[in-house]
Amino acid sequence: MIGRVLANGLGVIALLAVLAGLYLAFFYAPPDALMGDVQRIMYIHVPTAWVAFFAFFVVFVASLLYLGKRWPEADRLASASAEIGVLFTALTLIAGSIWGKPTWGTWWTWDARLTTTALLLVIYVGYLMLRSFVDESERRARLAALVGIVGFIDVPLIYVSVLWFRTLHQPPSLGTGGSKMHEAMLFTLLFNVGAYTLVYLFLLVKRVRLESLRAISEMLAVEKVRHD
Amino acid sequence: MTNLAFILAAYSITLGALAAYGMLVWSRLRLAEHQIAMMAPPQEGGYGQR
Amino acid sequence: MAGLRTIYLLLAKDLLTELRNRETFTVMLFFAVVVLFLFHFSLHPEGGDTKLVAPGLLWLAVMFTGVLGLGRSFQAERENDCLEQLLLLPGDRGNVYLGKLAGNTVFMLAVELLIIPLFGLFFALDLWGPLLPLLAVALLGTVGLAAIGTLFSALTANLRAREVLFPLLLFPLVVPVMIATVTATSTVLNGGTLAEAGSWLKLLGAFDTIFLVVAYLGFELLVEQ
Repeated sequence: MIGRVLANGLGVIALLAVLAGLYLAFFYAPPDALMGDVQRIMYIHVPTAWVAFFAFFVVFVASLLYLGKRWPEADRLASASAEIGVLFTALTLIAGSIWGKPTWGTWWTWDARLTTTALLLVIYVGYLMLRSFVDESERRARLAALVGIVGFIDVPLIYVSVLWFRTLHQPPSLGTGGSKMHEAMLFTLLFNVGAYTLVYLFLLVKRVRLESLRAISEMLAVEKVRHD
Repeated sequence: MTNLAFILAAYSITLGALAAYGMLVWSRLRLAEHQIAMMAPPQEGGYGQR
Repeated sequence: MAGLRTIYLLLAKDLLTELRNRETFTVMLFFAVVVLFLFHFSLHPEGGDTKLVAPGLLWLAVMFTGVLGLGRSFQAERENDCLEQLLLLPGDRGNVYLGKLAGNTVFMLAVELLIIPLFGLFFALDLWGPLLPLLAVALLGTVGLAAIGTLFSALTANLRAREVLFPLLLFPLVVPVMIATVTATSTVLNGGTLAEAGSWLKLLGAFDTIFLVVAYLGFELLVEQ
């Protein structure tokens, strides 16, 4: 009961934070000197990117926990975080693409960050598909944990290799960082990162609860069959 | 300002998708709670009768 | 040392089995040839562009062929229910992984040794000059592919839709190895020495090491009951 109240409270706070973040993004932060107002997309694109990577880090830790302690809760956490992570990754790519068109004239480019994000999506969609192909929960958890760990370790490797490859073929020209950011912009960005992290945490709590309930439901169904 | 369309698109897609996912999870949560409530009561009488 | 002996026995078993019926190897070889043909037909035959993309095509062909061979690496054990027996061998479970890895690497290298000359022929490339550097790149690249491939082959061995799931899981993970291998090959074929391709080879070596360690540990965790 308390858990549910806390979770819903988290949701309310997250919602308020997002709304405040939107206000900051549109009315507080100044327009970019070069890119104008379109640059405001950054205030939702970067937070979702951060959350996506964080979500997969959670999958990594939860997977390690599962292989170490065999807690079913760890597996449920991994599963939930992966699902939400895939959502955030897809949204990052979409918003990034929409931002790219007016800013750099193209819907897509193979720079290191975008490429790595796209591959991240593929890896964790693969993770979710693997899970859907295994019916026994212990086996599913074990196999998924391996993919969750190997996948996460692989991501920096992908980034490095694409980066090297790119410096070979194209000098880095697509930097959003580099120059100092206006204070108000930085604040807005960080605030929004916090807001969407709260959204992630709220969704995670609810999604994990859903997994737990499904597990209970399954157990009860088995019990019922035995009773009847 | 056509750029407004881009900004609106990016924000509405992201926020819309997050909200949709939230509602999906919420509705499935309610369904699961309901299912458990349906299944649990008969068990209560069953314990200790073996 | 019991460990090395296990690895050697496993390698010997796989090699002998393959020599006897040559199932996997033949399929892999002809598949690679067909893929090379397809690449040739799907690109404009003239145009210097082909030389630019040639290294990429070679390693794509190897990747696709490798997925075929790697995917099957645990099938014989699975079909005959031998996997449990394999795991009862004395010593570290990891030795089973290393044995399988050795076998997979040997098979892939054997296919590559036959495919690379054909590739040189199809794309009118001089491979004699840079032969040694090319082979070095091939070795490192193959080990990297096989390292992750062997682990995931074991992982997906008993699953439904293994044929699709295995490549789906494998391809994104081996991107670093692919990039490094193709770039190194490209450097070497364009007259670069081994030293010039050096930074890429060092990167490839680092990737291989990481993959080997992670896959070795992962395999032990995988088969733990």
